[in-house]
Amino acid sequence: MLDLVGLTKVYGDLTAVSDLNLHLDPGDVFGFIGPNGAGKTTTIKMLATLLRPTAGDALVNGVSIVTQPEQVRGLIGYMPDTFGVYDDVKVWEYLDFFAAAYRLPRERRGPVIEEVLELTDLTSKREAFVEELSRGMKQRLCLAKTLLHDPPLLLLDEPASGLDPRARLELRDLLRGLQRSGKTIFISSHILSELADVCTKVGIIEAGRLVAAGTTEEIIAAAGLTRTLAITATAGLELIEPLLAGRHGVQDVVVDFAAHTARIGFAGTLDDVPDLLLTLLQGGVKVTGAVEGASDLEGLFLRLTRGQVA
Amino acid sequence: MRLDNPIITRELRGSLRGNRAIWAYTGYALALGAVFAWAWTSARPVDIDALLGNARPAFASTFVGYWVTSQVLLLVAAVTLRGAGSFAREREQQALDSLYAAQRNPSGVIFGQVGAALVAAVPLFILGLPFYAAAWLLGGVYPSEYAAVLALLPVCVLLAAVAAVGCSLYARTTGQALVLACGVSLLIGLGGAIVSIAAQHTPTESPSRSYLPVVLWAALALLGVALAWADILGRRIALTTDGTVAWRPRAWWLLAVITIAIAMRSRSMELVEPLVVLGGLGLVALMVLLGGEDLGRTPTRWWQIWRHAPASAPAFLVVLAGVAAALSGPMFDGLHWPHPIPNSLIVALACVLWGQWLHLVLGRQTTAALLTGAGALFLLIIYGGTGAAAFPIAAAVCGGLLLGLRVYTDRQTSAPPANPR
Ligand SMILES: Nc1ncnc2c1ncn2[C@@H]1O[C@H](COP(=O)(O)OP(=O)(O)OP(=O)(O)O)[C@@H](O)[C@H]1O
Ligand SMILES: [Mg+2]
Repeated sequence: MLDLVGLTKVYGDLTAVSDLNLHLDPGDVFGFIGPNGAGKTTTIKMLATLLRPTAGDALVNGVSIVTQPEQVRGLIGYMPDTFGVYDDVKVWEYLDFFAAAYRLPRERRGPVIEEVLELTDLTSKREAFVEELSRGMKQRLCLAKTLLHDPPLLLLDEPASGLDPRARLELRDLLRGLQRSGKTIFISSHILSELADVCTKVGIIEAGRLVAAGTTEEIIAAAGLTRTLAITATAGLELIEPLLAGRHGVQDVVVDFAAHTARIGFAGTLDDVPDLLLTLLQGGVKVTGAVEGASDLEGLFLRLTRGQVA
Repeated sequence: MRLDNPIITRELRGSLRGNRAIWAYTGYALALGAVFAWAWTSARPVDIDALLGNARPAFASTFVGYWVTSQVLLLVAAVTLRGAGSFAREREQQALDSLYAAQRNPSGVIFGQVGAALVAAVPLFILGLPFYAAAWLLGGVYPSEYAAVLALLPVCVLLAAVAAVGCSLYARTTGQALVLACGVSLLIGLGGAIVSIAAQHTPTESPSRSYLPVVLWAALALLGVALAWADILGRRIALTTDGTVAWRPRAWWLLAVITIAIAMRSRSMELVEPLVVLGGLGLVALMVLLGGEDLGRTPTRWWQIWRHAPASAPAFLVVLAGVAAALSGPMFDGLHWPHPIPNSLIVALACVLWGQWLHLVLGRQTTAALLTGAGALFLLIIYGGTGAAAFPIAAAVCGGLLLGLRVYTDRQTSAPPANPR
């Protein structure tokens, strides 16, 4: 679906993006994470054919962004990180404008606009003026605009910045829906929690270099990172530490007697969780609940990036 | 033909919404009417001879002199204001990226913006038509004058629109674009006004067509500037988006054919105007230059002038000025060789070859074009000094402004911008 082959962008003597290699399959949701100035926007702009790579190439469904940018524009929906809307234009007219820019036939524009309005929950705002929408609505409108020509690949540059927690949840649901309909989504962010449970793959970029890429599982395994198991128990909390002492992979145990909880940090895979629980149960800990915090992207992020970018 | 350019549609929707537009149009029609009425009353009582076409009433010259002039200026102002806001405003609103990413074809954006700017002028022009009709009924205005005006208006307006959109594309802010565009449009408007006055018959003159070739040549020269702008803009936009598309308007060739046809027609009317013939030749050469390949890939020889485009295009506009000036008579008798045609050809050739050579030696388009321009202007000073040089000079100033703009924006874009966050 999307292949980056040595994608590089150099500004003067600053290498903003350096030799990115990546492969995404249809239906993947790729979380592109990195600190400010890491090169996320630069990468997305190159994929959106707005910037010409200094070296390397990217193929969208086999179409090169360097040699066939015009075809590529038909295959992607691009949502910029900062965007403006026009004055004196209504919501449906704004969408009609982009539908025409994407060369949708005139008679198909009406139904398609209704469809994306429905999808982004803006139907009630159809006749409103664009500049009067709230920030979150504008964000949704911009997303609606990128869906008009039904592109197989969506490039979303920090779509959740400036949204309140509820709007973020709604965005997440929307993205899940789009993923189910078979779209590949390339989404950049530095807010990690918003990506944690939507993404099937994650890439961490710092100072233009991809420091880690793959499924969240793979990255955690590769980086030897801590998985956390949060446990609530009615009794036997004091037994946990002795039971696990010396057990392979267990790194630390934090018990909170007042709250009847414990956090166990361990290095391993998901398959280790039942064994661990069994040990605890057999040892006499009255476990009433256990939550595995696999996608600890925050910790991953902080460990893999060292703030090299000013 | 169905108009399906999104930018023009959006412009129409925006401008037709609300009462603002309708009040503006009403005000405009009232203003036109007031000028017309003033011209009409100042020419009273109506002269029966004039109505029968035997003599020219005072009204006609006032009409052509003031009314048409004011319409040219108004229309130019309208498209300038809209055109200057086009790209610069979208850039300020941060809406440009989305637009570029949505367009399969970059030239659609530029056509759309120029078209949207022209949209402002169309109703204004149509509102003026009844007044032309009234003037026709009142008599005394010659058909050729109408023809000249009708050719002049669209050319000036198109030129102003293209220039304003160009300024907008290059400028960083809307304010800057507005100042630049107004500067360029002032020249265009004044040029248009001068032509409209030049197109007038003076009562003592027997009806002669000798002014017509000059007017047409001036109009074509203005159109040439407009298309040169369009071409350079096309390249600019191609570079902004992906750097591979080269936009080459083939309308150039159509213009060449028209120019030559006009020149031939003048000949058959035994009104051989060297200006027309040479202007036509110059435009053809200009087109050849602008239709050329980009520099790069394979080495270019200095005499392959068609491969040096677009650097040589502004220089060539100045060359045209030199040619026209050479024909207009000597400023220093001693330097003037009294054979206009070979003289002009020598001037033109010298400028072109010099420009190409400079381009190759210096490797910098802008510097070469500026130096060529300077050389051509030097020749202009030597050979110029008469009224006919006014339009080529205006064209040269436009070219100079364009170059200045290029140098300025090159400097702006080569410096790395501040970190976006
Ligand atoms: N037009 C440009 N010219 C020169 N340098 C640039 C340009 N655009 C971006 N950069 C630099 O490239 C680097 C990467 O910028 P980019 O905008 O891609 O970062 P980002 O990961 O999107 O950051 P953020 O999270 O703040 O949006 C930065 O150091 C930036 O200063
Ligand atoms: Mg960014």
